Amino acid sequence: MRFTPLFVGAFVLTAIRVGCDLEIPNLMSEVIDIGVVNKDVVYIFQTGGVMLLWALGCVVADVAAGLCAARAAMGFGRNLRSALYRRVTAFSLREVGEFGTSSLITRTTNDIQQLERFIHMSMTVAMMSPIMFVGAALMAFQKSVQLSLIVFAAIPVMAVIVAIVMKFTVPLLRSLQARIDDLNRVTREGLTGIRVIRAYNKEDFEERRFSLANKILADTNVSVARRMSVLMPLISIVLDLVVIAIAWMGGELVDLGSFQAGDLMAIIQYAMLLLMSVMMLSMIFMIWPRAQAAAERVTAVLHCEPTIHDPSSDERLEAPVAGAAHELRFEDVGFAFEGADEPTLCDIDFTLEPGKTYALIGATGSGKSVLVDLIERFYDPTSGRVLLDGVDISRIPQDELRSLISYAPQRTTLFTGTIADNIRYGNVDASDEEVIEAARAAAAYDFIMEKPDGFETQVTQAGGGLSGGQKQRIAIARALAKKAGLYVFDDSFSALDFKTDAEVRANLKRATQGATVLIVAQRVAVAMDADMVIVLDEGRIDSIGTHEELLGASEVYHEIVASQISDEEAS
Amino acid sequence: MSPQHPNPMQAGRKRGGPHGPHGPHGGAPVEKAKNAKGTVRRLLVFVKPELPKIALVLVCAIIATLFDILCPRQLGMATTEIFRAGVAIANGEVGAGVNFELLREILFVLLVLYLCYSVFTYLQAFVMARVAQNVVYSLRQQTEEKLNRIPLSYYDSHAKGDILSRVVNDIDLISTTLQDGMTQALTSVITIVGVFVMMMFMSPLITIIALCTLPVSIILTAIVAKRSQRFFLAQQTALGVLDAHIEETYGGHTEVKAFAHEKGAIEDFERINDEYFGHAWRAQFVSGLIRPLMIFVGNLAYIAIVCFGGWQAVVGALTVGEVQAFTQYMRNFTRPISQMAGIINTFQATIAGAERVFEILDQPEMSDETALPPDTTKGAGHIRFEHVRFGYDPAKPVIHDLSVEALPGQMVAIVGPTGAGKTTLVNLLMRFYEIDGGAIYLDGRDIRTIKRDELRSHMGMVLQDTWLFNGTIRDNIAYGVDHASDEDIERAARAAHVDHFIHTLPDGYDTVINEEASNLSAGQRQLITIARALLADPEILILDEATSSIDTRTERLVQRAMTELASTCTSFVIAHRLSTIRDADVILVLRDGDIVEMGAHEQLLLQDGFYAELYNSQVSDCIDEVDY
Repeated sequence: MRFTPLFVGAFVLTAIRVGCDLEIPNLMSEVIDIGVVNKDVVYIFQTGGVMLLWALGCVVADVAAGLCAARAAMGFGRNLRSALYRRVTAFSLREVGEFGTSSLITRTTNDIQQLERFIHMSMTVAMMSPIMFVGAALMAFQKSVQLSLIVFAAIPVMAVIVAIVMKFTVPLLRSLQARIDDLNRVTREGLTGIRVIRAYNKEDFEERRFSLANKILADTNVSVARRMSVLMPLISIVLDLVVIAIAWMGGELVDLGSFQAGDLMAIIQYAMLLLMSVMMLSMIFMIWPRAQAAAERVTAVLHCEPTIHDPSSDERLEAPVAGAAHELRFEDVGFAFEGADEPTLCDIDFTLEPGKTYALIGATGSGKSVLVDLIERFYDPTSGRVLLDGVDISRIPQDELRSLISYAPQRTTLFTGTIADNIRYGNVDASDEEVIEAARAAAAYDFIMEKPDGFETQVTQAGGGLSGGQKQRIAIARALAKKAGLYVFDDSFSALDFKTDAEVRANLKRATQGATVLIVAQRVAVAMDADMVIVLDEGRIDSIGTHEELLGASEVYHEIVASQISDEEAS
Repeated sequence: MSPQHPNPMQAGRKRGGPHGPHGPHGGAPVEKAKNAKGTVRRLLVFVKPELPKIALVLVCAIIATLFDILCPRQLGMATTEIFRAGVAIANGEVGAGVNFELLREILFVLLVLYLCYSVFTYLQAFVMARVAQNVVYSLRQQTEEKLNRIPLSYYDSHAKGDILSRVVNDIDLISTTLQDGMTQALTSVITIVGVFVMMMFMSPLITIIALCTLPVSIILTAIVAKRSQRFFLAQQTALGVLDAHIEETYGGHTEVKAFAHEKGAIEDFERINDEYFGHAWRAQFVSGLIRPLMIFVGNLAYIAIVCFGGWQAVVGALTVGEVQAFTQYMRNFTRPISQMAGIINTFQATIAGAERVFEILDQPEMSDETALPPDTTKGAGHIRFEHVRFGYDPAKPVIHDLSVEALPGQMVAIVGPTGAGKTTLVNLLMRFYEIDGGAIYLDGRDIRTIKRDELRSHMGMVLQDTWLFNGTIRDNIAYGVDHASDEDIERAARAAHVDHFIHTLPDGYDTVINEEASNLSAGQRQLITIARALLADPEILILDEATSSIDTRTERLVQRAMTELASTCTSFVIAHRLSTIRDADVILVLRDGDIVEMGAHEQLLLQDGFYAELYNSQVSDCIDEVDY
């Protein structure tokens, strides 16, 4: 979409529209000064016909300008939204984490809408303002140099008034937004925390908190409204003084015989238009703070470069062959979040041998999830390398890498569509049989079939109608439906009850047959099922071995096991 | 639904100039009120305390409008005098010239009129700002107080976002309407009547000719509004799809990436984005048509007045100044009329919004307990459920006939599959919900005879969904205890094994938890809420999946702290991880709202029933292997 023609078009059309508009008072003055003075009724109505043509020209140009403005504003929004969306899609977890998902959503939706509105308003109102200003000034000047001097004298006064009012109002408008956010936050907290609030009998405390936010918002609103309402009367007074001065001086000019009443009437109208154009511009200042904030938030995203790139063609290596079980190797990998004092992962060095099942186990905050994120290249290691079948994963394109790995995340997101669509998400070509098989393996088949529409049941993003465990099982089915040489389950069984958990794990061996499997888990039972267990402790590998080996060798593992199995049973 | 707000910059008085009235805004679809009359009446109750001020506002508005109506005529008199002099001079009459004495008088009166108008307009807005905000403040305050009196079932059955939107957005809409809409409506009516009288007074003929444009503008407005409504609806729908797509792909960022779906997602997005664009620019354009069309109709009226007025001036039935005044009057007349549709829309949206707020205010409240005798003595913490029956929908009982006893100091664990009614028991014990049959006794007293706040002061609760507010960690831990000392807070934090972590934060205990609490992990949040419960030192402790986000090792440490606390208090523990509740004195195994098994861990294992099955699915294959 080309914007320059639209902007130029809108500008030219607005100029035409203003020109037509300004010609009408001019013709009116002729009606008075020639028609009425000469008592020429025919002339009056002829001139009226000409005015009608100008009025028609005005409406046609105005409508066309509106078309340009609508297309330009919405087209701009569309393109910006698209650029933003593509940028966010290219983000790694690091950038997403920096902005926050909900903030990115707001930026892509509300903020861009705000900008659309601003541009539309700029092109319909703000663009007209300077044209009208210059046009009305020229027309007034042409009518009478002396009288237009009065008008020109009023302009700086007007500008100063607008500037002063804005100076006192704009910061308040900004803080008003913050106060609204405060009230929103307090109210939201009161709603989400209702059980805790009642349990601790803190209703009064919450009421006071709310009351305070409510009061401050109300007071800010009052100040804003009062300051804003100064503007109109002040501008009015300036305008009125101009009108009175023109009438007085116009009277003097007429008295000298050098001026006519019709011209006087026209010049009063031009004065009003001129000053109104100043007012119009001030309207832009009102919506400017919000638009500016929105623009800042949007550009911050656009200027944020994704930290993870696909390799350039020089660096690029041949991707491992799909289908066979992969070997995954961490070579002295370290990872630290930016600005963190302590690295999250340190000296991580291990190899997952093809076809074997591994359990990754460790305390909360030991770095398990980040380790998985490194395999998927959601982050890049700070030091060391991750190798898939001997190939550094940073040297193959991300989509190729990820097509080789099947992954079930910790937190499940389902996408709008049917359950079958969701299971097919990673493998669009999966046959119905494959989908059913994956669902069976994930112990999801029964509950899906209990739904009236079975696999065709519509799910929403929030997964409405499905429990946490059911969503997780669909996510597992989704991972299983995608055939890969490496399966990664990041704590994907946490919402399952123990029976289902055991059932899924039993099926897993069959469903992933031949592939390499890495399961991140809290539960010891997972570790006991695995060929090998990797124990992570505070970002370092504590030990690697079979369950039996580790029981004897690893203090950390021992503690984990002990915490899950009662002492008397363990001893 | 998103009612279109009226332009907050209330269009000011515009005099002269071939500028048409700015038409009603857009014409986005507006939700209709169900019972407009009743709602307005109820709103008036809130407005009542402000009546003296409102009377002042009305008086100011009326005076300002009257002055505004007189202005064009006064200016016209000046023009007429100047025109008369001009013509006289042109005709070379003897002694012709402007009567400056008269002109000065006319312009002085005009100055006074103008100044009065401005002063009263400002006064009106100044007072109204406070009135509107006072009404809104008290309406919000009442809603908040009401929210504290309605039972939890309301919260559980209504989306939080919906309630939030009622408290914030709907009430905001009321404030905007009060601030601008009310006076706008009033001045509009006065202007229309006053201007009509003035015009008729000057020339009935021109008035009728000029008014012929009125039906044209009304019809045009109606046509455009109707069409734009359709476009807006399409735009709104497309926007919904667009927003949903963005939310879901951003929310599922890792999935989109992991399944290499970026291309597909972008393709979908572009399609939806284009579709939205198609609807959006049309809606914007069509609704924007009203403005130029109204300007055109305004110009038509202007031309008609100038031509017919000129003709009348030639005939001598009208002065030139009156023609000028007429052009201004016509503008003042059509502006409020063409704004009417917008005003009506705003009022409708406001009333619908007020209705949504009143819906909250109309919710049945929890039973009044002021009559119950106060009693704050600390009891032993003896709990007895006796034949308790309950259903969220009374027709579908969740708990059928449940009887159980927890002796002081006992730890009672509740286990069972999802939906078995575990959390329901907590809801009943805390009196978040009232039982349908049977009774629950605390230290021998029916809990229905104890005030809710007193009952709850005996209990401490930690939930799976941790709740922290936007305040310091210290304030969050001290939430349940007024004036807790720093030592007590830190002791509680140490017991919850979160003290060390807090010290690693930049501001320690004074670190402010941000809005999404994203500076804390789920586990850390849970530890803080546990510290909060420990500090409150209750007689009865309820832990509903309280340690689910904590790894098993840390959980053990926390449990040790809780066991200490639990030795002095009765505790109810709901847990998925059966390993955490083996030490419980009594384990209740719930299934479909009934206790299917009850007893200590060993006992239940021996029974080899449902519990044993659940338990063994976790640990069976390792018991033999674990060898120390």
